[in-house]
Amino acid sequence: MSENPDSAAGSSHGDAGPGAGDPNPDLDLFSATARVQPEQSEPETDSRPLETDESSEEDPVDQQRQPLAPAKLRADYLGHTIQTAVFAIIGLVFGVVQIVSEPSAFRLAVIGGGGLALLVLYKLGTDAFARASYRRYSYRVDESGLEIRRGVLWHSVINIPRSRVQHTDVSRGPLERFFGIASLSIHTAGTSNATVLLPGLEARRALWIRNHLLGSDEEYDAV
Amino acid sequence: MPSEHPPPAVPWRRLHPASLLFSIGSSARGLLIPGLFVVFFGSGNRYEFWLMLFFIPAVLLAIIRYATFRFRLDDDELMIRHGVLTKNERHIPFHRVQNIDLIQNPLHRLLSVATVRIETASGTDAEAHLQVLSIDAVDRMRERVFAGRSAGTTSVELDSSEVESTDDRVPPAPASTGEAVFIMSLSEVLLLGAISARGLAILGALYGFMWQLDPIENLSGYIESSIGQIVDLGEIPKSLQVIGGLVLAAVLAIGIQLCSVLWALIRLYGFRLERHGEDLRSRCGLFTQVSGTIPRQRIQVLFVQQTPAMRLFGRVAIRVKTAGAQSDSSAQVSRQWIVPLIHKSRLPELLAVIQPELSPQDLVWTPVHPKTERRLRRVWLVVCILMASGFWFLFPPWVLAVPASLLVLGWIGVHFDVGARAFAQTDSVLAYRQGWWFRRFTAVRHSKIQTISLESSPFDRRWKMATVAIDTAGGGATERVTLPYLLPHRAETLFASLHRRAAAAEFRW
Repeated sequence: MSENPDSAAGSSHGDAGPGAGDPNPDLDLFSATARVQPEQSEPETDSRPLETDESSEEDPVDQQRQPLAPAKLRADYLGHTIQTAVFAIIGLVFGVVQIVSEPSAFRLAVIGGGGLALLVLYKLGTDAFARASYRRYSYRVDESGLEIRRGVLWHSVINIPRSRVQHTDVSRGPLERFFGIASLSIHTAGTSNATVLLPGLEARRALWIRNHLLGSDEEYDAV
Repeated sequence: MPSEHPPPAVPWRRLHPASLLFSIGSSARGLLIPGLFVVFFGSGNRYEFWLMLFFIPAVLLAIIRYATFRFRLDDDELMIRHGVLTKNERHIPFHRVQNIDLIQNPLHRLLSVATVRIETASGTDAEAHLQVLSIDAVDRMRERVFAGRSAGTTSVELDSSEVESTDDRVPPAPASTGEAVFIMSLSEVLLLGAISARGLAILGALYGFMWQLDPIENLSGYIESSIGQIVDLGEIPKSLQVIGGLVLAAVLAIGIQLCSVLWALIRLYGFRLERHGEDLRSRCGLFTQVSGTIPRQRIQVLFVQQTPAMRLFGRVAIRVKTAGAQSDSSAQVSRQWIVPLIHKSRLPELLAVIQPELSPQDLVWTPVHPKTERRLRRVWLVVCILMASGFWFLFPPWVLAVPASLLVLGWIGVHFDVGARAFAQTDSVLAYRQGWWFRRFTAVRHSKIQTISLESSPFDRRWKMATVAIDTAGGGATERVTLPYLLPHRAETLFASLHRRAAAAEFRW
């Protein structure tokens, strides 16, 4: 009875498996006749969205959730400006070569105008994405560990129990130093998610979180 | 943790003298193929033989390596010293050892020595590679490592280093007397070979090897011409050619299957799994005997798998993931496949030994989101429509039957696949099962969870679904434990409870 595909299909629709009543002597982990939790037919309208979206950022239940430092956004803006400037210089060189090789007003207008439009689009686009990303980013540090929410399109909540932290890095690039922020990377013994990065923290805050995560109650053999 | 004992208390030891033989042998093997080329295919030029002089530095190097390599077993750690110019000293605390592997080829067995690989949870290669030790020394080493470990895991919860550094010699755990948990009979080994598709892999390796010797165009040209020499294809009628081809294919298939059986016989002959206190020890191999040791505590993830062929014979296989080095050593194969093939009726008793926390009888399965089937059907539909629109321009219309039949098959597959997906949680374990055709059951202990994430892609949000993913130590990133297509409220509950339980359970590798 364990190999019946029909019953396999049936169980997905939520009827409590027949195995719940009679104990199956022949244990089969794959069998669909294993006990199945009855579907609590949750009304569909009732199922909340997975993550509280930005409107509920002030959710009173979740007071401890912290946004990133506002300077992070400014640092991103400046970073994008620098990138745009670099592209502009490269574009300028190419454009000048193109126009000088075959000068005409039309070419000047097309190459110049097109290039300018691309640059403006790039700057505005990256800034908009940085804003969206900033708004979606938040973290919470508590006794049990660190929780990070992020992702503009692919939302995710990552939870790192404090006892699983192997080591941490606090790094500050030139831009970050200029704006007084820092990035914290947390390393665990995992594989696919072994390093979790939390950027855009005020420098002192990053050090505080690090000290909290590496707190003194790790006498047991965490490694 | 440097020990405060006076150093002479524990003498430094050397490797077994046979080490010289083996390390010279392995460098000789490296020169053998080029050497043969020189002998057989060389232009007969004398200078080519001078190349063989490279052998001399290899021998000298082996001697120096042997002379400078020392190791010492302290109360709580293994120390290794080697190097001439750059002196190297390595300390490996016993409680950091993930597993100890033993490799013995026939020559090793003749001299009763073994190559030992000691793995910790770091990096991609073994932490210590001792080539070679006498069996006595290996047994002593194992005993010491186990003794230290059992003190660390049973009597101390918080601070293992404290207790281990006390001077009293810990009485050796009942390590030498193991209890056989599972012994694989010869017929089971042959069955495994027959139902696994290992032959194709071997054939592929062989093909690769041939290609190394000789570019592929020449090879196929050679085959064609040699067939042509035997029979003149033009003289044989078409129908006979077809039959001949089929016969050839059948012979090839049987040959592949035989390869697979042979592989299983060489690799897994005499497979046995023993329990020594808290450690599991597996041993197998016809010529080269491999023995792996995993502490039960160090199993990160446990899988029970069943391929269609296994199901036909009512068998399953158990595999475990450890945090040890990820190199593709032969020992790792035997260690990962902790039970290569077993009748499913014996599964409960074995699981009870391998992972006592998991009580499969108590699992209560929660199915995935009721709309999963519809969602996956939609994916198939889109894929098939894309394929069909591509075919429309390229091929005659009847080829459209391909995407159409693919769609039907896909939908049937989705139906069963969705029915098979479910997760279950107990106080100590998260279990997940998936796949109807290739079935897989995964169990992770909460104490082995590293990070937990709750994810939702734009598609997930459209269908009001969510994914819970768990990261563990060891194994490839491809084997990440992911639970997709969950009802959002269930996903959140699971996420929260996993976090609570993982944070409460301390992680001890």
